[in-house]
Order: sequence, then C-alpha cells, then structure tokens
Amino acid sequence: MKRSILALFAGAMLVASTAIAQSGPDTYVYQTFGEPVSMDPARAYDTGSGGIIENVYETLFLYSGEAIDEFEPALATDYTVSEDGLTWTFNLREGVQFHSGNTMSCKDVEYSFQYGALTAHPQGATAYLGGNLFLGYTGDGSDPAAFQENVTWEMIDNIVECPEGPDGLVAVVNLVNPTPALIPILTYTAYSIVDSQFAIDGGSWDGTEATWTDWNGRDITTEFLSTNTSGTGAYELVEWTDDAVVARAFENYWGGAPAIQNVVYQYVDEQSTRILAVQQGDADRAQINERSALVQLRGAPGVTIHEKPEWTTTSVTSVFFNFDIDTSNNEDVGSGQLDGSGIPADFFADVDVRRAFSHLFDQQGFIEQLYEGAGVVLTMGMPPSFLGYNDDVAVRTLDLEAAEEHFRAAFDGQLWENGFQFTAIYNAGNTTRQTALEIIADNLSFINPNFVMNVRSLPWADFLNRSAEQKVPMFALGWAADYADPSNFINTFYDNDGYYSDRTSINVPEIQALIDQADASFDPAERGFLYSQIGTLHYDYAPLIAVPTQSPFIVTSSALQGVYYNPMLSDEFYWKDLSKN
Amino acid sequence: MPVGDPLCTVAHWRPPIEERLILLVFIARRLLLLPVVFIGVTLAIVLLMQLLTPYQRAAAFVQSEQQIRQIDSIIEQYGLTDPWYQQYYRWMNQVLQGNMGFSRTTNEPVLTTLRNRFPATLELAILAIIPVIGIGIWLGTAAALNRDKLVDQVTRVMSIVGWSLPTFVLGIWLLVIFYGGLGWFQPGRISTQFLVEIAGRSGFQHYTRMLSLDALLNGRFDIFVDAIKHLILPVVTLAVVQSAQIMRVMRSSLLDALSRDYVRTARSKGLPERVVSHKHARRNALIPVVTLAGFTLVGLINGVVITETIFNFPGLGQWAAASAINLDYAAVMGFALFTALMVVLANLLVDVLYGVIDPRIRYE
Repeated sequence: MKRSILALFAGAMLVASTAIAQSGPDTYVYQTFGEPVSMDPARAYDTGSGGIIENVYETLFLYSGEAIDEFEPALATDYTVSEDGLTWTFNLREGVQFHSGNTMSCKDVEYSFQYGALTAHPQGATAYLGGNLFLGYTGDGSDPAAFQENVTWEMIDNIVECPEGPDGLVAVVNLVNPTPALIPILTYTAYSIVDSQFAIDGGSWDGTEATWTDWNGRDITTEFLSTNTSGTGAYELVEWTDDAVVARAFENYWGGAPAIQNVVYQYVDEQSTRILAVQQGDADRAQINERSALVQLRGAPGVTIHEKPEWTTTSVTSVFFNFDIDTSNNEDVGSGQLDGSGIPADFFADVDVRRAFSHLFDQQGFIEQLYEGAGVVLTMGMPPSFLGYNDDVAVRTLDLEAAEEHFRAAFDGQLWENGFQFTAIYNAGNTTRQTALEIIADNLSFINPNFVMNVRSLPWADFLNRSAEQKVPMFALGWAADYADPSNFINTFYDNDGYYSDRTSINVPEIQALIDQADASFDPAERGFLYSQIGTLHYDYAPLIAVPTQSPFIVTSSALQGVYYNPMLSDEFYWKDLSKN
Repeated sequence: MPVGDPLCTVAHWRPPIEERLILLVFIARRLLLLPVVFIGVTLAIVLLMQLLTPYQRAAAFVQSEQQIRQIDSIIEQYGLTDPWYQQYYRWMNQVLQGNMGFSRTTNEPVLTTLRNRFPATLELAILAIIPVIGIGIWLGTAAALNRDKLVDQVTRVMSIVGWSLPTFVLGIWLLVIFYGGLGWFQPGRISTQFLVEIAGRSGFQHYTRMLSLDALLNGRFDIFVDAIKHLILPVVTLAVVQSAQIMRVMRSSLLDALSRDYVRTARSKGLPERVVSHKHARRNALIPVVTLAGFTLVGLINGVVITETIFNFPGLGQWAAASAINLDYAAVMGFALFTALMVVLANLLVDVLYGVIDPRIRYE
C-alpha cells in the first residue's frame, strides 16, 4: 500500500516537473487587471467590461483598424441624415445572427436604444452620452421621479422607429438635439445592439410601455443582461468568473470565422506575475502599467513590444485653474485676499496669472522625467489624433522670464508687490498629476520668494468632494475619450457648461463662442477649423495647462500577429483581427 | 487545559453516556452563541463604516472621471445618508431573506463569491495544513529531544528564518525560480488549455468546486495533476512560514513536558526513552500545538492574502483584501460573517479535540 502511494506521488511529481504547456495556437491569452463590472452595454462604463463587450457585441458601425475617425459598416451597412440633423436612417445588415440563434432586425436596435435610455444607470454611459440627444434630458435614473417628470413613454418610444416593421432592416433614429458626432457616439459599446428576444425571455425589460417605469432607475448591475450575453460579435462569452473570462469564436458570425478560436482573459493584479507570464509564453499579451517596466522585457526571447511614433493615447491630463474659487472657510487659499498670504476668488480669472503659470510647466522635462523620453507635447487639451487638433500653434513651456513678465502684469502689479500663497491638489497615488503640479511649484519658487504654491494630495473621494465644492484653486485631472470626436474633450475641458465646469468655473467668452459654433456645425471641415482656432486661443488665454501624453505600447508574445493600436477601443484591437504563428 | 475558556474545565470522571450528552449540550450552547457573534461583528462593521462620510463611501463606486458627477446620485440610490440603524436594518432584512448583497469587487452576489472562492481556499488550506502541522511537530520534537545539539540549533535557526521571512519575498523568490527560471509551476489555479476545456457547459462537473477533487471525480487525472501543480508553490510558501511557529511552540512545550514529574516517573519505571518521549511527553505537549493549529487552520481557511495575491490564487483572502480597499460594504460584511462562523466552529473543534488528547478534560 505504502509503495503504491509513493509510486503515485512520484508519478505525479514527474508530470508536475515537466515544463508547463504554453497557450495553444488558436488561443489568445491576455493577462490584465481590472475585472469587468457588467456585460450589460447599458451599464458598463469601464475598460474592463468594454474590452469584452466590444468583441461579444457589435454596434451599428465599428472602428476601422487604427483610425479613430473612420468607421466601417457593421450591423448597419449605410445611413442617411435629414437636413435638420434630427433623423438618421440606418439600413441594417441582412442575415446577422445573434449567439442565441435569433436574427438581428430593427426591433433589436429599438430595444437596445430604448433600454439604455430608460434605465439611465448613474454609473452607465447612456444618460451622459445620449440623454440630451435622444430625450433632451441629461438626468440619470437615480431619481426616477424627476426622470419621469421630464421623460414620457412617447419620448422613449420615439427614439427608434421601424418603418418596415419590427423584423425589417431599416431603423430610423430620431434625435431631439442634433449632433455631428452621432456615429462616433453610437460606436461606443453603450450602444451595442442586444438580442431583444433573448433579453425579454431572460427576464429583462419586456419592451413595453407598461413596465418602463419599473426599469427606470433600477440597478441593472444585478439584472439578467449583466451576466448573460447574446450579441452578434465574432466571439460568444463562454464563462465569466471573478478571475477569468473565456470566450469562443462564434461559428455563425456574419463576418466569417476568425483565426483565434478561444480567448482567455486572466485577471492578475501582480505586474511581476504578468511579466513572467508573457516571458514564459503563457500569456500572449500582458498589461504593463509603466514604461519603466519594459526594461525587463526588451530583448527577452519570444516577447514583442509594439510601439510606433504615430501612436497616441486618447487620454489627456491637464492642470486646471479655478476661475471662481469659493474662498469661504478654505485653507487652500490662505487669507482669501491678494495680501501675500492667500489668493482671492478670481485669482485665476486674470489671464496673466494663467499665462505665467503656463510658463512654469516644463513639458519636455516632464516627458523625460516620467515617460522615459517617450511622450508627446500637447498644444491644447485634446488628443493629437482628434479632428481639429492644432499642431501648428505655439506651446507655452518653461520660460521663467516670460512667467515673471506676466506675473508683473497681473492684477496691475499688485500681485508682484504683495506675493501670494495657495495649495494645489491632486488625488493621492496619481504620480502623473503629482509630478505635474510639483514641477510648477518648484519653478515658481525661482520667480519671487513671496510666491508660494503648496502641493498636497487628498484621497480620491475627498478630492472629488472638495473640487466639486469649488474650493480647490488648482488641480490636476484627466479625461479618457468616450467617442472619437473633439467635442468629447473640448466641451469637457473648455465649455462654460462642460463636465468639469462645476469645478473650474471656466469662462473664456472667445473660446465659448467657437465651441457654440462647432456644436452647431455638421461640416467636418468647418468643425476642424473651429477646433483648431480653439487651439490658437488656448495659447492666448491659457485656460488650462495640458500635460504631455505618454507614447503607448503593447506587450505581446512574438507569436501573436495582427496587433494594432486603436485608442478608442478598450483593449486597443478587436480579437477577430488576431492570429498566431 | 484550554486557556480562557470558561465553558471547558477539568472535572471529575463521568460514565461515557453522560459524558457524550454533556458534550452535545456543550456543542449546542456554543452554536447558540453564533447569532450573538454575528450581530456583534456586523454591528461593529456598520458603525465603523459610519466613520466615513456618505460622499467617501459613494466615491468608492466611481471608477473613472466620467462618473464623478454621479456621486450624489449614488448616495441617493443606495440611501447612504440614512441613519445607520436604517441601513443596518435594510441589510439585515436582505440577509434574512438569503441575500447577502452584491460585491462590487467581484461584480457578483456575495454568496456566489463565497461559494466559488471558499472551496478554492479550503483546497489550499487542507493541502497546506498537512505539511504545516506535520513539519512543525516533527521538527519541534526533534529539536526538543536534541536540545542544544546541532539538530536543535539548525531547527531553531530555520524557524526564525521561516517565521521572519516575509511571505511576499519567499513567494516571489519561488515564483521567479520555479516559474520564471525553470518553468515548472504556473501561478493561478488551472492552466489555460484546461480552463478553456472545462469552461461553460463542457460536461465537466463542479461537484465540490475544489478543482483537484472535482478532477478526480470527473475521472480527469490530467486536470488533477495540473491543479496540484498550481497548489505546490503556495503550499510550500505557507508551509515554510506557518510551520515555523508550530515548530517553536512544539519545541518549548515538549521541553516543558520532558521536565515534568510524570516523565521522570516513566523513565524511572524503566520505559524505553522513545516511549517516554513520544507517548508520555509528546501527547501532553500537543495541547498548545492543537490550539495553535486550530487558529492556523482558521487563518488558512479565511484566506491568506499575500500568498493568494502573489500566486494569483482566487481565494477568500484576495477577495477580502480587495473588498476592504474598495470599501465594498456588502463584501466586507459577508466575509466578516463567514469568518465569524469559521472562528466559532474552529474554536469548538479545538475544544472538542482537547478532550480527545487529554482525557482529564471534561465539558460542563
């Protein structure tokens, strides 16, 4: 007995000590971190979920390779727009099957858009991206009473019409407010087309007026579509546990069978473990956070680091000025007066103050210090790949003499005489934002001994709370693109009524006039011109300080082919475009 | 004698049937304490969470800049400004209906996470506790019986090194050598090819959710070997660190026992030294070791955060740590309840074991 146990043990150890098998030739293994939140497109608003959803579901149009402003037909083959920009008619692709076996038609487009609009989950994207366009109401579902006061069933029902009937292949999308950015917006995963019959059969909203209010404001994170999927994508979800996702190629995919048959996402929090996995060939791709970690991987056999000079991210960090600080009971502005021991509420409303601070930030130094030399200097608060990005405009960068000149001119010379003192804030743990503010503070100390800028961190929650209360004079914050249109950044950063305006009280009338014109225009050339003019005004009025972007990179096994970088996709490329040697 | 336990005392001898009845009453009384422990633990967590403002708790839901305007909505949606007793009542009401809430860390119901992760941790704990206790007792005995000799010195140095070696250092060393260097043992719980094979409706039955056991029950020896391979490094890490403590306790306890009168009596009766040391002294020396082993097992069952994180082993410890960082209220409460249950049960088991080891101990 003892002998047989020993023999079994020895045998097991022999097998164990053989080298581990690497991922198969038809399997793509991605080791990353940040598990998905939900598989429901109307709920998901995180890259963890987006990376799966963009391959399991499809939108009417898809991104084309690395281009962020070119869209290839997917579930829609083409579209027309009415003159007033309010009616968009989409011709749908024929013979598209969902993973459940149901056939895609107009009723699915109708269901998907209506479901997203009426659930309006506060942590989802539909209220933010589509509320104003489809309903003329931007509130979310957290306050159903307010939502239902402003939104009626008729408004929900009007979002999509099916002129050829529910099973027809024409979908008419009606807007309340026109936008030139509808196609980019509808390409975001929140507007994926879900299988209406599958959803209804599974206990999701039944698609009727009778029950819409029951689903308005419901926490759909725990509902059927959050864990059950039936999309039209090239891959169907096989299993989603809290440490892995497994997907398999969909055999009836309308676009033909992809080369990779199995996809495995493994969630590995330890970066060193992910690095070992890609070196061992167990992972075909590893998510690496910092460029400095690439030292361990450069020249490693079987590992490829993909990077190209033309690749740029679509996330932008900026240092924001608060144009109208709440100085009451606010230790970050000292005395609240321009008396040498504080700053007044309108400190940053003075254009010379903003220009001076812009001359204290060393963009190139920042790239060297933080990105190991691989980054892009920004001329304005928008990714360089976006329409209208103005590459020709000058950049205010480190120039102590120019900074002094503007400080002397500010507040009619009073600022230079009295000096000032305030505290800038970043959220704890974010080294990019910390470094940006500290560079400015360091350079300020060379200008005038009476100028004091402190830098402190706050936990994320307190940082958000304090900045929302208008109490933070200067802060660093970022934005990642939702859709590939300049309005996503320009309106967020520069608009008087934009997403960050309640923290910055930004108010530059000359820029606002251009934003309003661009919002009303449907002509790409005109919009491009208007946004490039905003770039010029960014230099003149210095409403914020753009922080350089890091040049992106992707680490994969050398066997993986078909890798490209589209920053609008959560995971940079579609799985269906991959293959392995 | 069990320390600090008023319910368990040394008493006079009773006939076996009465003894068994008393034991059952003892167990029942202990189990009746469970609701009190539950309420105490959960109340403590609820009150601790109240130290954070509703804004701080709501901000933990925010994953990107895009959601920062939604904080007020989140506070409203989850009733975070309600008085603490209302929030507690709401939660308790749900728990009594079998709903322990939704874990934002794993994005699934807390019960589902417990169901999935507990077997993984249990599998690791069971495999780890055997070497932890075995090596600890064996080396502790060897050290005590060879006091101040080379064996003792080496064992003591080993125990100090083992106990003071940070788990993450040892874990990463093992990973770098046996995974990065030799390529023998992967982190995680299963190899990709098997994960793909058994995912979804593949026919592989998850009877116990302990992968190695399920593999045997499904007749898949290849998956069994794969599962064991994934357990080896975490088990070795735990064995090195945890057995050091048991080794030290065993050594000092055995040294103490060996100096007692009854051992001298046994020797003077002419009993062989091995019988004296292994049967007479060691059995008594095991009592504190059992106490320690009980708590070690509870610690292992409740998850070993660092080991699970380094080896990417999806157990309870990894989840609990991530939940605490995320202020994942439901998950923290669920985990605390589960831990309380485990501690009460393990305490009970240890107390019952005392009676087996030391027949003088009786329950009242």
